[in-house]
Amino acid sequence: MKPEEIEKLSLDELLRIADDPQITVPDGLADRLQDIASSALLAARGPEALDDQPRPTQAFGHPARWLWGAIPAVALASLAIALLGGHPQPLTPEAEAAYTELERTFLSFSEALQSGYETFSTPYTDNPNIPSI
Amino acid sequence: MTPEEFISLYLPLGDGLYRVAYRVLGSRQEAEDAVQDLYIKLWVDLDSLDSIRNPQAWSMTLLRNLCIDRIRARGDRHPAVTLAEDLPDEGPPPSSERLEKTLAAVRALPAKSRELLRLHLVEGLSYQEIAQLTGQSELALRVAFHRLKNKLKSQI
Repeated sequence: MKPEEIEKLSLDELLRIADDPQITVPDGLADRLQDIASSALLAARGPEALDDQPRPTQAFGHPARWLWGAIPAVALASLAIALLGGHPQPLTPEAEAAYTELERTFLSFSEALQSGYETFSTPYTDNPNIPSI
Repeated sequence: MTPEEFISLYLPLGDGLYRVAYRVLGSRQEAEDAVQDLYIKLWVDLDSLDSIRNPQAWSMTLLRNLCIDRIRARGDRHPAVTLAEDLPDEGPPPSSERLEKTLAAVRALPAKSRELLRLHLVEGLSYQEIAQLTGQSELALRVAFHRLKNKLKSQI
């Protein structure tokens, strides 16, 4: 094509050509372009870019990992409180009021757990609540 | 723009860019060279790519200009004499020079080493993940990367 003809090609025409399946792409082009990307990263960061960098991880890992440790810890703490703190005294003689109190307590547990989970499931680099060092 | 963003946004455009270059230039080798020149140019201007809203349109526009330059250069019978008078003294920007030097070193590596570079640098895989993928031991990979690093260190 002549330069004047190329200049006249609209973006739509260029995009149509880009999708033309009749023009076969040479084998290995993607690899050769990836070599450019590899080289660009090496040029920018130096050969140290080849070091095995650990990926940023969640501060406490997946909840499934630490939850199994947390459950016996909570059970042990509850047992210690029960043994050392004596017998629990009833707060109210009314069953309905006791149930409401219990429900409120569990709700606060649930909210605290949810809040904790959200904090620790955010990678520390993305967590706005943790100041950068 | 970060290198990772560049890789994820611009590398997948390669096939389409090649087709355009081929249609315009009519030569497979020239088309591939033009696309590679484009990627080097894009990389050198990495910082300015943040303001680009449509990477595909931007790449097409740059590629079109590169192809026009190539066609005009074909018609120039004495490019060395004419250009030497017009070229600025400072030559290509240092980042471009460094990239081309690194690219030459990477291209001189065996295919297996280049594959390791792609997996680690472009795909972002750890040594352990590459070991799982290739069936090599992690220790063997660590040794391979160590040698690769020393080799490139001496050449870049």
